[in-house]
Amino acid sequence: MAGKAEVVVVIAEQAAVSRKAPSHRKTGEGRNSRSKAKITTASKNTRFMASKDLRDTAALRMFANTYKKLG
Amino acid sequence: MTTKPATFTRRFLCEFLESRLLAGAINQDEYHDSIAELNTAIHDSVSAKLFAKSPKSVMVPGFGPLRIVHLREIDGSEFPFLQGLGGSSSTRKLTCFIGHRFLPGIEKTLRYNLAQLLTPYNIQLRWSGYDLSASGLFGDIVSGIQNADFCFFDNMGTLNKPNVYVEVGIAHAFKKPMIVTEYAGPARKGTGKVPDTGSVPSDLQGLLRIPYKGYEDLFKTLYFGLPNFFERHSLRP
Repeated sequence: MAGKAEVVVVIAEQAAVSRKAPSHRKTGEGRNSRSKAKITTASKNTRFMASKDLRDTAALRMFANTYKKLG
Repeated sequence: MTTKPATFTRRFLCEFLESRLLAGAINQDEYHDSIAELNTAIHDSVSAKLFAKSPKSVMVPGFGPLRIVHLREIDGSEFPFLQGLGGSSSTRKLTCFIGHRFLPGIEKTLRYNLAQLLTPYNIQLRWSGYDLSASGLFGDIVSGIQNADFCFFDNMGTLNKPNVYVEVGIAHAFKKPMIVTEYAGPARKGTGKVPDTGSVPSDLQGLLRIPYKGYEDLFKTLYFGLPNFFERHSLRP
């Protein structure tokens, strides 16, 4: 049975949409607006990221170059 | 085929990357970066085109021609296979001597697959003839091996016809680079319950062998290992 990551990849491919990828930023201080308590903001943020086309990948480049050299 | 073209391409390239890692051609960081990049890429357009045009090649700008070819499994069914095609026809022609049992089932599958896989790289295939039974054939086989750049031997079906091991011995005496493949799967259809493939004789156990249970696995291992094999034996620059 396929894992969650694999299912997400397949769905994204079939729909030709970009997948969300986590981006990292510094943690910061914030305040809960209701309770006014101090909080630490998260270091991860989820952003939309443009997916690469297969032809931009190192794997395809490596594959094609390896066999181009063979003959 | 039940697998989507895009899924097939991604899995095939993942297996290629893994073989490059295991061969020491790329380091761990390069492997993980390439896998991560591959998993976030959209494979649809290139993959669909490769399958739609198969067996014709598709020119992927910047990379040269790629193609999907359908190889044959032991039972005659087909499986897709991705090939990167050679960029130049000016490379030296290599001759590969091939020895295996001459049974119709093996000829229609193994021979076909080897021809599809190797001839695009300017490799001429020379078959060992028949089961060493015809008179005068032995001399042909010896000269065939002697004049070959490298050899390929498969032991499927050799339990009661171990002639392929004689050919392995000849190639060993001539110090020819060779690939020996060893069938390790269940008894094949039509051969009854008794398997017709024995294990490799103990004197040859030290040889580099590729054990396999099916041709899809065998041909991936063989194809992914070819660049290193050629480099190790200085067969191609």
